Amino acid sequence: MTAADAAAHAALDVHPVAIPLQPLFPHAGLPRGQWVGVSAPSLMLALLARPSQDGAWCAVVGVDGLGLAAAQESGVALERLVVIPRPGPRWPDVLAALIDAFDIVAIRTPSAVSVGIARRLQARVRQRRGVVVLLDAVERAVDGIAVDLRIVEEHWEGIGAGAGSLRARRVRVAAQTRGTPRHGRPVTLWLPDPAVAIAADEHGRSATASPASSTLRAV
Amino acid sequence: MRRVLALWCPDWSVVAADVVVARPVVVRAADTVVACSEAARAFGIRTGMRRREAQARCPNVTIIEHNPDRDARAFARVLDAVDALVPDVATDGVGWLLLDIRGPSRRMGGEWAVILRLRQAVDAAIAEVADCPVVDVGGVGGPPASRIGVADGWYAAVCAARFASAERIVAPGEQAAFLAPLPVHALSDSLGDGQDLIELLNRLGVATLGALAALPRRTVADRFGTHGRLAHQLARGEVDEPLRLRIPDEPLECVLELDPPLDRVDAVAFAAREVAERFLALLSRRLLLASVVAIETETAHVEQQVRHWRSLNGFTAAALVDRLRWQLDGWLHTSSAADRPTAPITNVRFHAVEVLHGGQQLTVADSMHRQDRQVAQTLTRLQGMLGSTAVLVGVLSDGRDPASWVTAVPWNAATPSSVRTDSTTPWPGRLPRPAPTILPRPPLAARLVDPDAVPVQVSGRGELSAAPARLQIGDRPWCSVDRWAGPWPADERWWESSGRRRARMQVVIDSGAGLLLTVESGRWHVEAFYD
Repeated sequence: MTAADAAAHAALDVHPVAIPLQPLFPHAGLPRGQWVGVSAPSLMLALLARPSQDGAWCAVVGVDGLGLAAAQESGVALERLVVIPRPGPRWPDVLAALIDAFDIVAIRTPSAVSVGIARRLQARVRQRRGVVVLLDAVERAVDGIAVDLRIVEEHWEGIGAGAGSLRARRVRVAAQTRGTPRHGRPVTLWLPDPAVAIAADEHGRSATASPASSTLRAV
Repeated sequence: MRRVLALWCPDWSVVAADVVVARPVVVRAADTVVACSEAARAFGIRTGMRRREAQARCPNVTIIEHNPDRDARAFARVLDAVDALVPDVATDGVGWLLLDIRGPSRRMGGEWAVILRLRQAVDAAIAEVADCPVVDVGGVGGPPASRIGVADGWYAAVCAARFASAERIVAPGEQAAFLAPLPVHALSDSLGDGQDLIELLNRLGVATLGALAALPRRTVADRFGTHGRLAHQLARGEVDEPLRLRIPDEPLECVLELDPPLDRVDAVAFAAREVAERFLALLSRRLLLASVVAIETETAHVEQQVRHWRSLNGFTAAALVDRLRWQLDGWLHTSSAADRPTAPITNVRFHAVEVLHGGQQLTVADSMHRQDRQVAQTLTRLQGMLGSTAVLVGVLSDGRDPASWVTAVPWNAATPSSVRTDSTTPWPGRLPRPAPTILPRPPLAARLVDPDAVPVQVSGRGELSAAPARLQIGDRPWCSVDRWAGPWPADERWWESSGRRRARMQVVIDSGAGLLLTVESGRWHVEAFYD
């Protein structure tokens, strides 16, 4: 196999993410069979946008009060998204069932993950070639996270001292990839993109009709 | 082993139209160029272009409307010419012919002999349709001559006809080697709506069919679904694999008997619609997809006509009825008067000649349905475990609260009537976009104070008592408020004294986080986080 073939092969094994997020991943997308960590719901939604538009089934578990309007503005295809806000004490069973059928399962675990459960779930994800996105994994019981993304800096635009409104946020996202000791160079991007607010200004409610139009841009 | 001959009449939509083929001509469907003449190509015009761009490249280009019926009617002349030489020709009806060449090549003395006889007959028919002698590849003086490819499988034969010169025989066993250097773009005709896949392959650096063929089958199927799997099989030149063609073991057919017999094409086509649907249902019950359908028609004088119609993606009822119409039109206008029907039509028979097994060659939609079914089963199981309202999906709706821009409804529940899909209603008090990502239920109690630690109030006229300086959520530590916006009235009836007075503010706290606050009767809450 040549180097180009190997690269193509590796690229086949991911769910490609929106272009501005691609530099955060070794192969420009969510690696199949792996766990990915994120520090914020907005980042999680941004990761789901492109795969769901490409037809991947996505589930979000344990994120109570998730703003579906924000999901839609982030570009997530609502017809491919299922949310289970309160999975209850049997959440490992819920997660296991979802891993079997869904392409991507995002979860904020309601309780600490025991080492045994983590190992069992990881084996399942590997076998089913799914992706688990772990939101706010405070205690790192799951030590097998392939890529861990966190927002290290955020700045809201459009709001002043008693003026304007929150319109767009510039964030710096750092990625730590398993096997590499240090964080890679942080990527700066809009999250959410000012286009969301602008589109709403120009078209009013019509912005809701085309989720794909809300794109993510690098800064 | 099969040997398949593919014959292509290039630019057929141009040839079939009543225009001077030697001139720059484009055929448009809606605003897109779907075919063009060689003379137009010399100006840089290509199919897929917008009409305006074509006109910019050649201002006096002749533009004609695409008309599949016209293309099919003219192509019937070519089919007649071929029928006289070889039996059982399958066609897409508008430019392509496919046939198994083994029998004819034994009879006529080799593959080259078949090619020569076919070419002569077809080129004569093309010249007759265009009223002008044919010219060879790249010539502009008349309609392009037919191109012919022969290979072990239909796909390599089609590629040989399209990408080689006037004719090309790919020797037995060599089609994989023939296909390998072709660009992946060569898949575009055979995959229907596979354009996305081709672009993706190009982006991934998989530029040739050979590179695609070298990828592991399993990986390709996982990553690209059924489209990808089919493309992979085509690229490998797997002889029977691409279509898994097989002759059905049982007769798969549906017959329409017309009583009284009908003498108008549109009337027959209308009557046949229901039978076409019945025929497709018969196939789908057996999980089959017809790739070649024979349509047989018979008159009251027992004159018969059969034509084989081929489609890689299977047929819809409407497509079958179109083929029937084309076929009857062609029969009525056939060049030799002796071959024309002399009585009304009494019978129409749809007969599956070759079928694809659904288990092996699913359409993309089918393969998606399989996962959809699995998803549905899982969600049903989870609803049993957690309660039916625990599993939610989002439905677009309307409302001024961030929570109600999109409504979460239980999966599989009917859309509740309260969900408004009409998005034109003005909603006073609507918050500007973007929408917050987390809306805690219930909202979190909070305290907002000014620099002197005096609670911030909002007056009846919607004014702040002082600039906010610090915020405490629940009993968490105080944080400072860096910037804020608002307040905005959160209720329609803000201006009425009887109304519930509620106002909203957005704040950015020292951590950089954005929050949505509400105040009602002097009490503050965190309604949402923009996290």
